[in-house]
Amino acid sequence: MIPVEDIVTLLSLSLTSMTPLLLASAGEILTEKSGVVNIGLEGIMILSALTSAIITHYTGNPYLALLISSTVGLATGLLMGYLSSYLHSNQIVVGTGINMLALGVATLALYRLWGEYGGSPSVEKLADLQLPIGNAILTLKPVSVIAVVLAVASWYLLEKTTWGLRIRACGENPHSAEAMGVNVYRTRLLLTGVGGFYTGLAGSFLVVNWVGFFSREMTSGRGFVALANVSFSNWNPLTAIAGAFLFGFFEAFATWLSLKVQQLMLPEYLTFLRTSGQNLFKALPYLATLITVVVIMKKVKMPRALGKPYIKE
Amino acid sequence: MSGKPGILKKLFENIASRRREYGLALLEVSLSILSSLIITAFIMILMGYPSDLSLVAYSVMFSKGFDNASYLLSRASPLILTALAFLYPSLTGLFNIGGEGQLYVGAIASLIIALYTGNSLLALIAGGLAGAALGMLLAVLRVYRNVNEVVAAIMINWALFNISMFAIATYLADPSIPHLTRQVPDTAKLPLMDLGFLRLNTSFLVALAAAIGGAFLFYRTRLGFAMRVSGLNPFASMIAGFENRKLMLTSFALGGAMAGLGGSILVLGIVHRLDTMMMSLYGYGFLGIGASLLGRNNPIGVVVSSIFLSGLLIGGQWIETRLGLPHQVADLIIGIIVISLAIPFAYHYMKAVLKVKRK
Repeated sequence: MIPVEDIVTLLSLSLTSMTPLLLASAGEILTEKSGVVNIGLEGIMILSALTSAIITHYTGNPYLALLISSTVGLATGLLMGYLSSYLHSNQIVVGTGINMLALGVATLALYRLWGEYGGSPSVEKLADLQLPIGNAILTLKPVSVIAVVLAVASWYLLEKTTWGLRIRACGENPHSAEAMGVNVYRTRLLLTGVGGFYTGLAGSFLVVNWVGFFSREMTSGRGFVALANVSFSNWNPLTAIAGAFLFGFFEAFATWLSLKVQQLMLPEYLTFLRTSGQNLFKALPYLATLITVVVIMKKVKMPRALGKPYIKE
Repeated sequence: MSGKPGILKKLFENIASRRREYGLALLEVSLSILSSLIITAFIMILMGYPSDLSLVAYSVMFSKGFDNASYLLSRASPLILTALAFLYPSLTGLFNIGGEGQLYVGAIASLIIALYTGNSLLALIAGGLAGAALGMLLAVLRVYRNVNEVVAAIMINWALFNISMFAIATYLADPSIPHLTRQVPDTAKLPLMDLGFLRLNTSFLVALAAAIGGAFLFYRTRLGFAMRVSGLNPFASMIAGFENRKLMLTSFALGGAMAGLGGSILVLGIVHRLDTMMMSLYGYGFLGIGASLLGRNNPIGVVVSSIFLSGLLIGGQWIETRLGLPHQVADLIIGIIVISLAIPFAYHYMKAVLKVKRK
């Protein structure tokens, strides 16, 4: 029987792990609904996490870091949006380029500022919210709450407002959208920017609300997992909350398991788990997500003009 | 005889238009390389590095990166293969982002076979097959379960990264040097060929053969034609009676085999053993995407671009030892090259603007 404390710990960890995914995938859903696929999420996250570490290190103000890093995310998103809507670039190519660029920029900056290749010094963090449940305490990160609010707001925007209808039109049939009087280029530019803003928040969260320093490997594919979550959620920000929680849970479970293995009595043939099992546990969330996607995946309905440059006649 | 001049004329026109096409591609590639160097210098100045440092760095990079041809070609060989791993499926309209994972399984399968049999050919085949199986898995998920190949590939890459590290640390490690695996036996190593002016690594020949073979397959055979048609227009391909699903499976297996082979030659021909952090493997798969894009969707172009990018990477290591700058400057340059490559429209747009102005 797993004790209550463990369940609460798992829940806290899951909610934390889900936050960056939820932010990035909610933003990406907005972007993709307008017809742009941004696979540079990972790079945007790295850039904004880096910015957060720098700002917090020099000003000691994590709130300012949160604000400025999301703006960096916004700017990178706008760059991506400009290239893919106005200049008709191949979106996969630009996204790949942004990922490569971000890694280069991060290392150069780390080296210039702190003489390190790997990571930044520790920085100030936002305080956690503590909710007592029986004997246990549920730790909730403030940004996690923001993430859920933003996801619900994105769903409302997309499904319940005229703006949402226009955005979806750009992703489904840009020619008709143009005929309706929507500026397709501008909409795609803006929505890619908004997606970048959300992703910037996600990157900043990693530094100022979770880990407390920046390292180049800290995103460990979360941007890509967020992309998986987008198609898993069938482009619905509300379902994306569930998807993000699922991956967050697997990640938390893997962390919890690797801690548990150290304490448990293991039979002889399983002792290797204690010494080198770490890597196996780290693979778990990715495998579990893939299997879930494969099992649950039904016919998904992606925006019809997704990834295709729109060329005005 | 009357038809002949017409045919000849057509042939000449064809060659002329081909030439213009290649010239344009070359122009775009050169422009993007040039602009990337300028933008990187700008970024370095923004970060507070001395303003002339980037020029010094570039001169070191280009003079040292390309001066040792033997090393350059052997460094480029795995990159050529991971680039082909991205290129071949993309000709059929699919994105194989899974080159990284396919490289890992190829390397590990080869290492295991080489350790047990000591035969390089068997080890190469095992690497290629392992990669092909993984590539095939992605295609099966895409075709039969409608799972996006990019999404599945990313999950598999990350899972395999960790599983491979586990396998290397537990089953393949050398008991006397725990952070390295056992070494490939001498009989299974790919030999160096002494050509007098150049010590050519056989790995490069494997990579070159893969590129030429692929070019032949895609541009000279019926299967290759079908694959390209299916990539350009799946609907037309269906009407023409080609089986799109089978073509997707084939091209993904082919792509996976390329990356697997890349891992193979890396182990058999270049590093001969792996380290537990997989430093010698990590990144070739992702970089292959860049090399493929720079090679402009052409197998032979990919060989050239891989050699060029390897030169940049080697030059990056030199600026690290010479100037104390991080070698990731090279990554930055490559990233910006890739971004600017994606905007050929900017060029046409400029041309249109200039035309309007001239009038």
